[in-house]
Parts: sequence; structure tokens; C-alpha cells
Amino acid sequence: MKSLPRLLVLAIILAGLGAGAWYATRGTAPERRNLDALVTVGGDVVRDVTHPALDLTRLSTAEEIALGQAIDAEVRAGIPVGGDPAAEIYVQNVLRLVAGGVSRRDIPYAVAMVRSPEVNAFAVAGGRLYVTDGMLGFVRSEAELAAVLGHEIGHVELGHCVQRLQIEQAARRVAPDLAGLARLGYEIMERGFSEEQELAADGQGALLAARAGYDAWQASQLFSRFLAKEIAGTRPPTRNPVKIAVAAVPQALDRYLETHPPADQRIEAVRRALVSRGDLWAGTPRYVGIGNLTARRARSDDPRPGEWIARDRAPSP
Amino acid sequence: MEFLGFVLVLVLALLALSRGKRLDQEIRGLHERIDSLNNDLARLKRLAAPTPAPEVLQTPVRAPVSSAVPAPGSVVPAAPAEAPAGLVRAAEPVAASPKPPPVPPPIRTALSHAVPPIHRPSPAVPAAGSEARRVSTPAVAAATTHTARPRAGGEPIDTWEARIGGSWLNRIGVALLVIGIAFALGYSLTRLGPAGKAALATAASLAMIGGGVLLERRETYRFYGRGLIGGGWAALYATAYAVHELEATRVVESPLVGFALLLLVGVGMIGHSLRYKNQGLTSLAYGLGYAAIVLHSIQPFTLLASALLGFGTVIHLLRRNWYVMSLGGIVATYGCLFLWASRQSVLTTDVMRLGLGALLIDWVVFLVADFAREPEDDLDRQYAWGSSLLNALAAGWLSFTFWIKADASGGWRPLFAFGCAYAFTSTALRLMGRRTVQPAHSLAASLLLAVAFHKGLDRTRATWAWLLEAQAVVLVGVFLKDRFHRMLGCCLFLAPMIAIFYDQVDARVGRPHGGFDATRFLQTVVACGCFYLTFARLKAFASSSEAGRAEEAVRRMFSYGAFLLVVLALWVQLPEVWVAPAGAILLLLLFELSAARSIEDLRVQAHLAALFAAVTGLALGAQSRDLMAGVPARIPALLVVAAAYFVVFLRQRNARTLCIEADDTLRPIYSWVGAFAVALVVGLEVRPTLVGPAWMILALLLIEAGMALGEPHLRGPGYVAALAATVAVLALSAPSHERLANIATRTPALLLVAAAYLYLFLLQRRARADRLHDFDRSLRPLFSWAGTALAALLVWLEARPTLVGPVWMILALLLVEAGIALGESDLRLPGYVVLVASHASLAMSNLTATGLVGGLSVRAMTVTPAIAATYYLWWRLRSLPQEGSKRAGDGRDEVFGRFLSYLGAAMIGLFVRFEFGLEGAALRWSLAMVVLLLAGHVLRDADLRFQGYLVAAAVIVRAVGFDFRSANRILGLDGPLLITIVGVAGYLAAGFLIRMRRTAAGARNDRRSLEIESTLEPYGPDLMWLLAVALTALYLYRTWSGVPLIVAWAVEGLCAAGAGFALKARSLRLSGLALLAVCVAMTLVRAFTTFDMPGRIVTFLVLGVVLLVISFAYTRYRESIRKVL
Repeated sequence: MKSLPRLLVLAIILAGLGAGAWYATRGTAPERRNLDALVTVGGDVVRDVTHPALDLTRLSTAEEIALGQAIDAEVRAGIPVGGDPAAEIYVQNVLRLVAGGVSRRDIPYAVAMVRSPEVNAFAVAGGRLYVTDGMLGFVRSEAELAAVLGHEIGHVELGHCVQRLQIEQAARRVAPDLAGLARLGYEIMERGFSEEQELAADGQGALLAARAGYDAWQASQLFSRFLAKEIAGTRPPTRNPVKIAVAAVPQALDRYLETHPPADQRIEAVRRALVSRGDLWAGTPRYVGIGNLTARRARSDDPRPGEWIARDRAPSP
Repeated sequence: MEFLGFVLVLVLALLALSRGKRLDQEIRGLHERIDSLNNDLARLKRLAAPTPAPEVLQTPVRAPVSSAVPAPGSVVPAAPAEAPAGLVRAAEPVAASPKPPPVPPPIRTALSHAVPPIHRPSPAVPAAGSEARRVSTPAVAAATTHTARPRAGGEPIDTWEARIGGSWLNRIGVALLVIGIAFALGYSLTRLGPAGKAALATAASLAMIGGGVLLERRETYRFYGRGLIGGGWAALYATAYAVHELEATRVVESPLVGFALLLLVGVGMIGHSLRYKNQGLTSLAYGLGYAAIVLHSIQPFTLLASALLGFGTVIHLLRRNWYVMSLGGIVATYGCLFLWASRQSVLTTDVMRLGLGALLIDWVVFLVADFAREPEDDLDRQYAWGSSLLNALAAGWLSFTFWIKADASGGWRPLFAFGCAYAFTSTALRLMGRRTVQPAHSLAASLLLAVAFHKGLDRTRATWAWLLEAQAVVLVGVFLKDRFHRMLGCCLFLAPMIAIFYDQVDARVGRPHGGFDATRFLQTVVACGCFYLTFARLKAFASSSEAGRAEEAVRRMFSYGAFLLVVLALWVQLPEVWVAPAGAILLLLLFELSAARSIEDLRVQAHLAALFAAVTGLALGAQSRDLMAGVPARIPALLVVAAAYFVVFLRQRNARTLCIEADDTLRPIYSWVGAFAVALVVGLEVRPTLVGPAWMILALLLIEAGMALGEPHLRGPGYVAALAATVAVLALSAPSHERLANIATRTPALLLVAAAYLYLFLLQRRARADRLHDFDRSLRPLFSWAGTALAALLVWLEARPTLVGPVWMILALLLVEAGIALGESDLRLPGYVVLVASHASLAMSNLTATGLVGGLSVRAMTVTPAIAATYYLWWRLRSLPQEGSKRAGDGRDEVFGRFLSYLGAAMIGLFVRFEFGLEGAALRWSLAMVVLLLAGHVLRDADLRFQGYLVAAAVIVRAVGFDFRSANRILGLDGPLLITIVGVAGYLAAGFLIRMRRTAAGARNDRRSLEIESTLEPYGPDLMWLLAVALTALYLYRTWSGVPLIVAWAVEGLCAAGAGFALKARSLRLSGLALLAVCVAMTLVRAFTTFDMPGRIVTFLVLGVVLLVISFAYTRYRESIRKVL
């Protein structure tokens, strides 16, 4: 390369780097120095290698539903399911709206309330969902609740709930033991899903909420509160390179074992999913339902005029 | 108790007697030997006439002795009968020799047992013991060497017998006798009256004396008799003493009579003992006499008696040269005086006068001996010297003791008086030529005067007096050219020196922070003056003799003493913070003086002063909190020290200033310590976060100076200072959150140090080659690495995590570009490392960064320029070999350049993964695969093509692992379908590309080749097409199941086979046929397991038809197919 063009290219690259640096100074994302990227990519590779085995051991919907019923029995024996009937009816009504947009229509989705202050929701194979009292108290609108339920439905839709059971089930075809498999499913449920599955379910949940007529961007509000909670619970990051190097590997291991990704990544997953399907929300009024949540009356029962919001483009983060 | 003391004295006296007896024996032996030698001489003269040899040969075994030592009338004692034959032969030369050796053997040898005595006949005394007279000639000695072998104890039997029988039994007997007398006296205390007791004691004493006299006349019992005589006289003297002094035996009431009696006995004893000319015997008598007069109550009378005895010993000294006895007399006489004084409970003036009078008498008595005569042999001289000094010291000490009991503060007076007296007597003795005892008098005078000064003056005045005295003595020694006085003066200087030293230390302890004292200062100056004066004066007396060397050593010690005092004065007189600068100034003075006069001792002291300055600077100056004009005083103080060190270091560049061998060795230390002092000031005074930059500035100055002067000993400290600066910056500045003027202090600190390293790196680049050592060159790469690391660290610490990667990339670009432009691999290599670190930072912070700014992803805005920079550098390094030889990279650049293409590709993959998510990854990767293979083909780069192969493998894995399961619609199309279409198209295109490359001319002429890629390339097209078939088959499997799947696979198999024929691709043909085979098998299995009968029939029919068609077609077009293939 001749000198002048080369210098020009060099100048452009330096300018690009400078501009990138300037951009970086304006970013508001949490400061992070860890091996999350490598952990994530490692998870990708592991999944890519193991997924063909899942394709070869696929379960039929009927098998999944039967398995889900058995796991539900295990769940009800292990944790206090049931509670405020009005709340449970309310959540069921919202679920019915959200589940209207699922692709696996042969799955009978149902939700149960769990008496626990923990902010949590989970799903098992066969369309059985569980929402804690804490989660119901944490969401601030019906749209957020729809995103939560959509997220759990997403796990079922994407087959996350049965993937770990498929190989086990294939091995037990020779000697069926449904009770044992149900216990395994319960244990898997307790352990949670992988981060990648969580992110995929986030995106799927947002799309389901959007299809159901809710303002799916409320999911970002929900995860923003998760993010604030995370930041409040963590110490300021150190800049000591030695400390960072020493802590990097243990943090990476923790990160690998964690089930839920950082909240900012979940926000981004929601954003990415919604941006890719702007037809589901752009230019169309979508329901928020703050008052509905308070009144425990679903949009289908009590549509309120003031709860609609219309967006032309994605909100700024 | 007193009795026991008496017995003890007796025993001691006996021991002294035995010693005296031995000496007497030796003297007598000498006389006998002289006689024997005379006889031998006469005999040898007679033998001068030739003696017939046969006569000698025929002599029996014992004959040689008798013939060789013919003593007329003598009886030769029996020689050992077993005398060896050699004895005869040994005698032959003696007989043949006309003359014996002219020099007899030494006396000591003759007296020793090595030569057994040959006894000369004695009429009445058999040949035994030491009484035998010895005859010895060399010939006889040689002939009799083996005749009288000592026994196991090492001595002949006869000698033992003589010693036990003739000596020990004698002594024991006398002692027993005396003790018996003493017991008898004790017994008499209760039984006999005084007169009886006195009579009994007198009778026993006289009996002993009488018996002794009788026995002494006989040769055999001579010693026995003398012992009795000595004991008798002692007993008689004790009796004379007792008849007046002891109550139990007192028969003489008048002191005068008692004294006269005692004097009479004493005179008799002395007179009688003189008759025998035996010092031992006489000493025994005197010893017992002294013991007798102190056994009981000690009165003035005792002093008189002891003075008389002392006078007696002096008389013996004058007449017989009995110095030993004189020395004993001094001890005993002054001992009596001391005992008398110690018994005085109250020392009145009269008593004191009495004691002093007696003391004066005793002193004069013994002083007479010093003037009387000059000793003749060395032993006597030693005794005389010791006696003289003992007399002086005893007199001085006792007079002082007496005086202070009456006048506690006036004890110095007698000492001073005696000191002056001895100064006078010393002068008198010098004039009289009494050179033996004169030094003792000088010594006594010096010591007594010194003690008098100590007792009579306060410490300051005493120090002055000591200085004066010592200097005077030294000058006397110089004037008289007398080494003893010079050395004495030197020793006397110890007193003022110790006094000053103690005084200074004491003052320092009292005032920890120092303080000026004019008196002490003046004293120290005068002392130093004296010392240096002495140092200079004594130089004239240096000589090569042993004594001269010792004096030279003492002389040199004086300069060190003066130095010590100066240093001490500085330490004491000055405030703590200024001690070190004063030491530094002293260093300069001593250095210059030693350089000008070439005085080695001063140079050594200069080095010691340097050490002093350094130590005090560290221990005192550095600790000081004093202020000077509002500035911490330790700053100028330590800077002065550093300056002095540097001045000395630079002055020693001139070879003429070198004085001692150690100068060369010590010289580097000066630069190191100077640098350390400056660094210490900085470390103490500069705020911690700025210590590192300040040290770096110091390092720059030192290295610059070292470069300019060609001084490695300046550059060395400079390098260490740079290292220290780095450590300080890392340990103090980097962790600090301190801010100055709203800027983090660590920013300028790290920047400055990093820039300094860059400057050092470039400094060496332009430095003259002869000014640099290998060590300097070996450090050069470290400069670029350190500067780079610090700059990178600064970015890491100050910038947001997402900012670090881009900024590091900018740094890497600049370093590599600069390295290429300057032809400096030491810039390029750190640049490479920073580039990798930049990617690591991007991976750790930017890839997972989720923020948006202005609608743009921070991740994209930061990672994509970095990827571009990576590929830019990849391109840059790729083109390096084409540039000039100076800029051309080496193997490391080539390796890193190739690594960059992989790094860039990996970063692209990661970026896309995080920016766009997993969805549609296989589609993107398909495109990337084609691009990479195309680029690798166009650019003739095997690395790019190999990456294309890797991506090709990843496409199918990702498609099956994720995209077929999770992809939504893309561009309005079914995601998995689109991915499959694009993937298959990509594989096909890749296969064609590879095939095209293989057939193209010059395909192997790669600019960068890779072995594994070369291995893959022949199979590349088949590999790609197989992947296309596999991807399609998997998509079909993921999309359909059952019969549709079988049909789909069959169609795919047919298509693949057809394409294989069309493309002449065997892999496609085989894969298509394989798929068809699978479909047939699946159909058969399904027909038997799932289908009902109609289904089975249809299935079989269709399959049959298909196979027939295929068979027919093959048969029909076989030749055409062969041509095609």
C-alpha cells in the first residue's frame, strides 16, 4: 500500500477508534470487566454440540403433557401452591390472552399461584406455569405480568422444559418410570434454565405479549427494575487489574452456573426481539393495564381507555 | 586466723626458698661447669699429641669414655653395660681428631637433661643428684647420648632422687619444724608464762640455727642446713618481736628495748644470711621477718621494723644484685604500711603524718636503689624497672589513701607531689645515665600527674591538663629522640581523648537534638590540633624496624583519633539535621587535602567521613522535622550530602586525585549514595502519588549525565531510580484516588513516567555507541515495555471499561507504526501485546456492553474500529517484507501478522454473535465463508482460506444446533429454509471457488502458505459439496418426518447425483446415491412397520419403478456417462 492511502486508512481507523472511545464515554451501561463473553460463547458451543442429540430424541406433545402433569404433582407436593383465588383468576385470564399467540396450540397452558414472597415465576413441561405472590407484587402493570407469563410460555414453546428430559426419556423407553422422570423434571425446574434459554424466552415472551395486544416494551421496564435491584446489591467494580485478574475465573464459573443473565442483557434481548418484529407493535395502540393489575381484573374483563399506549419506534434505553 | 596466716606465709616463704635454692644450684652448676671446661681444655691440650689408633680400637666398650675423658685419679661411673657398638665407632673420630670443637655447648644445653652428666669423682659425694659436677664435651656428649636414657618421667632416676631427697624433704622438714614451734608457742599461751614462752621459742630458734650451721658445712646436707638456718632466724626474729609485742610472751616492756632487740636480731639475721650469699635463704629470712611483724597488732613500731627490713633488702640489692628480694621487700614493706593504715579506724592528722612519714622513708629507701647502680643483665633490668615502678605506684597510692582519709578533696596533692618528684628523678636519672629505671620514673611521673589532674581538677580542666601533659611528654620524646617517651605521650593522649569522647557523648545524651558548646568545641579543636601535630611530628621517626613500624602505626592512629573527635564534635555540637551536611563538608575537606598531599590516611578518613555523612543523613537528617525559613531543613541538608558525594565522585574522574587502591572500588558507591540521598529527599518531601514521577526525573538526569560523561556509574543509579519510580507509581500513584486541580493525580504521574521511558528509549537510540555498554543495551527493550505498560495501565485505571479497548488499540497502532517507521522491533512487540490486550479488553467489557448512544450500539462503535485496526495491521505486517530492509520485520512480525487474521476473524464472529444474537448466525457465517475463501484466493493467503474451512464447519453445526430450532422469519421468509438455501449456496460457491483455484495457473504461489490448508485443499470442493448435501438433509429432517421426509431425501439424493454427474463431482454422486439408499431402506422399514397393506404395495411399486428407471438409464447411457466422467 502506498504511503498516502495507507496514512489515510490509518487516519480513518484512528478516527473510528476515537469516535468509538468517545461513544464509550457516553454510554450508561454498567461497567463490567469479566469473562461473560467467553462463558456465553462456550455455552453456545456446548449447546451446538448437544442439540443434535435432542433432535434425535424428540418427544411428542402428548408425551410432554403427560410428563407435565406428573411434574405438576411433584411441584404441588413440594411447594405451597394456591392462595388468593381472585389473584389466581386474574393471572389465569391474562395467561389466556397471552397464550393466544402461541405456535404450539396443542399445549394446554395453565397457571397456579405460589405462596412465596420471592419474586419468581417458572414453567414445567406440558404448559404448567407458576407465579409467586412476590412476582405479582413486583410487576407494576398487566403488560409486565403478560411479559412474565409470555416468558414462561416461551420456555415451553421453545422446548426448554423438555430438552433435558428428552435423552432421559429416550433411555427409559425400554423401562418406563414416569414417577422417576417427574422427580427429575422437578429437580431440573428447580435448577432453572440456561442463560441462553432465558434470553430466548425473554424475546419470545415479549413477542407473545405484543401479539396479545400488550405493550411489550413494559418488559424492559420490568427488567430495568431488576437491573436497579442488581446494582443496589453489588459492590462498585474495582479497577485494580490484579484483583480483576484474580477474580475473573471464579466469577466466570459463577456466571456459568447462574441461570438468569444480567438484567441489561435481558433488556437487550427484549429490544432485539421487538425491533425485529416491529409489525407487532409499531403504530398500533397497546395496552398497559396499571389499573387492571391493581384491581385484579384482566383486560379482557375490564378494558380501560386510559391504559393504551402507541409507539412509532423503539423507546430509548 | 592469724595463726593460719602465719602458716600461709611460711609456706610461701618455703616456696620462695625453693626457687632461690634452684637458682643457687644453677649458679653453682655454672661454676662447676666452668671448672670442668677448664679441666677439659687442659686435657685436650694434653691429647693434642697423636694417640695410636690401635690402642683405641682395642679398648673395651667402656674404654672410649675413659680414654676420651681421661681424668687422672677419677673413677668413671659405671656406664650402661649394654652400650651399643656405635658408641665405639662414635668415639673413633674423637680419638683421631686433633682438636675438639672450639665452642662448648650452651650453658642451658649443658644443664638440660639432654646431655646426661658424667660425674667427676668426688671424695665423699657419690655421683647423684644435682650436686654432682658435670663434665661435658661435645665428643663425650656425642658418645654418651644413648647411655643414660630418661625414664618414663623424662628425667634420670638419680635426678629424681636428688630432688626429693635433697630438696623437698628439706623444705617439708623446715616447714614442719617452724609450724611446730608456732604450735608450741600457741600451747604456751596457756601453760607457760611469758618468760617461759620466750625462752622456749628462743631456744628452739637457736637450736635450728645451730643445727643448720653444722649441717651446712657438709656438702651433702648443705641445703638442708641452710633451710634450718633460715627457719631458725625467722623463728628468732619472731620471738624477738613477740617478747615485746605479744601480751602472752611479753618480757620486754620498753619499746626502745624491744625495737633494739628486734633490730639486733634483724641485723644478725641479715648479717648471717649474707655469709652464705644465698638470695633464697636470705629471702626466706626476710619473709619470715615481715610475717612476724604483722601477725599481731600493727603499731607504729611495725612500720619502723618493716622500714628496717626494707632497707635490708636494698642493702642486699646494692651488694649482691638481688633484685628479686628487693622487689619482694617493696611489696612487703608497703604491705605493712597498708595493713597499718587499714587498721586505723580514725585517721587523725598525727596518724596521717606518721603514715606519710613512714611512707616517705620507705619510698626514699627504695628510691636509693634506683640511683645506686645500673643492672647488668636483662633479667635484673626487668626487676629493677618493675621495682622502681612499683615503688612509685605504691607510694602514690598509699599517700593518696592516707590523704583522702583526712582531706577528701586533697588527695591529688601527694599524687602531684610524687608526680613532680618523679619528673625530677627521671631527669636526674637521665643525666646520670641510669637508662634502665629512668623510663619507669617517667612513666610513674606521667601516671601520678595524670591521676592528680583527674582528682584535683574538674573534667574540663583535667582534660586540658592531660592534653598538655601528653603533648609535653611527646615533645620530650621528640626532643630526646626517645621512643619510650614518644609512645608514653601517645598513650597519655588516650586520657583526654576518652574524656572528650565521654564528655561529648554525655552531652549528646543530655541534649538529644544537639547544641553548640564553645568550651567543648575549643577543647576538641585543641585536641585535634595536638593529634595532628603529633601525627606530623612522629612522621620523622618512622623506620622499617619492628618498633618503627609500631610507632608508625601509632602515629597513624593519631590522625584517626583526631578524625574521630571531629566527627564526634559535629555529632554533638550541631543540630541533628545539620550533622550530615557537616560530615559532607568534612568529607570534601579531607578528600581535597588527601588529594593535594597524597596522604593515604586522610583519604581513608575521607571515606569514613562519607560513611558518617550517609549514616547520619539517614538516621538523623531524614528523621528531622526542623524547619529553615519555612522549608524542611532536611531538604538542603540531604541535598548537601548528595552534592558532596557527587563532587567526590566527579573529582575522582581525575586520576591524580586517586590516593589509595580502594578509591577505584569505592568510587561507584559515591554516585549510588548521592543518588540515593536525592531520592530520599524526594521520597520524604514529595506527596506519595508524585514520588514516582519525581524519581523518574532524577533517573532521567542521572542517565543523561551518565550518557554525556560516559559514566556507567551514573547511569546505573539512574536505571535503579527508574525502576524505583516504576514501583512507586504502581504502588503509590496507581491505587490513589487523589485529585489535583480536578485531575486524578495518577494521570500525570503515570503519563510522566511512561513518557520518560519512551524518552530513555529514544535517548539510547541517538546515543553514541561508545558511550553505551552492553548492560545499557540490554535494558533498552525494557524501557519501551515499561513505558507501554504504564500508559496502558493509566488507560485501564482512568477510562471506563468500554473505553479501554479502543484506546489500547490506538496505542497499539501508534507503537507498531512507530516501530515500523523507526525499524524498532522493541516498539512493535509491545504494540502487538497491547493489541492483544485491547482485544481481551473488548472481549471482557465491550462485547457484553448493552448500551445505546444516539441509537447506535456502543458495542458496534467500539469493536468495529478495533476490528478494522486489526485487519489494517494485518495488512501492514503482510506488506512489511516488501519494504526496505531497515523496516522489514523479522519472524515474529510475520507470525503475529498471521495471528492477526485469526484474531480479527474471531473478533468479528464474537461481535456478530453479541450484536445480532444467535439467530441467523449460520446465514451470516455462510456469507463469511465465501468471503474468506474468495479473499484467500484473491490475496493468495492460506490463512484466510483456512478460516473459510473453519467457518464452513461452523455453519452446519450452528444451523443444526440453533438456527433450525430457533430461527424466526428472516426477510419475510422461513428462517431455517433461508439459512439452508444460503448455506447450500455458500457451500456450492465455496466448492467452485476452491476448484477454480486449484485449476488456476500459479495457484500454489501463496504469499502466506499453511500446511494444513494445503492438505485440505485437494478435498475442498468435495468437502464443501458434501456439507451442502448434509445441510439440506438435516434441514429436511428438522422440517419433515415420515413419508415426506423420505420423499424429500430421495429428491435430494437424485438432485445430488445429477449434480455430481453434471459437475463431475464424485462426492456429490456418491452422497446422492447414499441418500437414495437411505430412502429405500427407510421406505422398506416404514412399509413393514407403519404402512397398511395398500401403502406397502404402493411403496414397493414406486420403489421398483424408480430403481428400474435408474437401471435402464444407466444401461442406456452407460457409454455417455463414462465419457462424461
